[in-house]
Amino acid sequence: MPKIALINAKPGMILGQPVEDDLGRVVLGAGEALTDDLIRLLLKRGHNEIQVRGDTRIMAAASIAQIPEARRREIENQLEARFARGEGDSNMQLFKRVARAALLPEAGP
Amino acid sequence: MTTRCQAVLQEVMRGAKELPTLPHVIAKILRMTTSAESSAADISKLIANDPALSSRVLRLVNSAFYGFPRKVSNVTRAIVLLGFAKVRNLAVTASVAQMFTGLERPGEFSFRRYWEHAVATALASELIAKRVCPARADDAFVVGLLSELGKAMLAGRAPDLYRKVLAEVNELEIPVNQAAAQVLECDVASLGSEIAQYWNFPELLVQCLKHYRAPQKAPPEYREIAQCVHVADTLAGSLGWLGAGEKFVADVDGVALMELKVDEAGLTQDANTLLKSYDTSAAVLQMAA
Repeated sequence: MPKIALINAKPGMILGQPVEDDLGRVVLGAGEALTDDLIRLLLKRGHNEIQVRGDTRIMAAASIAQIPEARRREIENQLEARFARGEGDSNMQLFKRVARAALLPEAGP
Repeated sequence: MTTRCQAVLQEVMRGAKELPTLPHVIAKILRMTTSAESSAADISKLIANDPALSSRVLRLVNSAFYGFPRKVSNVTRAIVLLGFAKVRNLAVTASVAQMFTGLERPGEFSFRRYWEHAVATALASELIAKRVCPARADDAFVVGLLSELGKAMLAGRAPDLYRKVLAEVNELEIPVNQAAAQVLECDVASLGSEIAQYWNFPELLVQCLKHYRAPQKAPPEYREIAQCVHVADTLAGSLGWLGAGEKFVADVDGVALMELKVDEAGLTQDANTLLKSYDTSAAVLQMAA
């Protein structure tokens, strides 16, 4: 059962192990489906890692597919426009790759 | 400073003494939380003297964001729970938001865009500093939050001058800071630093606001924080939080990246954390306003 960083958790992932607080009290039980609100709540409470069921790569790909094509194109166009000045600069290209990987995950670095 | 630049500063600062309580109370808070001799009681007394400020701080502490099981009813308790630096950052954030809300000038200066960039830069500065110089991460947050102070003050208090700067930005497609230096003989980073000095802010802010765009020129003791904020400004812009009036992501200094040992993996991790935490943090910070 994969252990993942909470910041990489996606809505729809299923908890494989319960999440407990420092005193061992169960905050969320195994089998609960994560939502944006639940992930945010866990982050706020200082949790860093969770165990989830299934293959996280497939789940991540499923969540990427949720970004509609038109929105993806819009994000890509905005990215090109704001980096139009830094085309010949390798450091600016580094930031562009970082931004693309974060905003459009499957495009990768 | 040239005569022209001095005149710009005077125009921006004319009547600035009538601004809300920010400069006086915040300058004191900023100084107290960097002094080892100040206690939670000293700082809470200062915040409590400003009822509007203390109610905003308590509202934040009691928000779902922190999730404390019992209601926190006084500022001293908030400082014990959250620490000096966090309460200081809340107080500064609340005051800055309040001060700039009145400066909105539609079509010329978007307060919303200014604020979003300020919050994203503050969070990114804190994230980068946590890896590079963890003990100074809270300082990096405040510098990031106030990094565009000069631009906001110019837009709000000398809108005619700001309009001329924007015309240059649009015509030559250059950053606001560079356009201001050409049109006013005074870049907005230096202007922010002069304002911070006028308000008696700590030297850390005076120096970092002046040098964060060219951090190699910062005095050695402030260089690391100036570099963190410099990189954070570019990271925030890369993800879509461009500074007010800017068309492009701010250029990044390769030496800063090298000295901070920032690599693509670390930046990607910070970018993902920023995207995840921004919504919650921005909502919380907005609530302080």
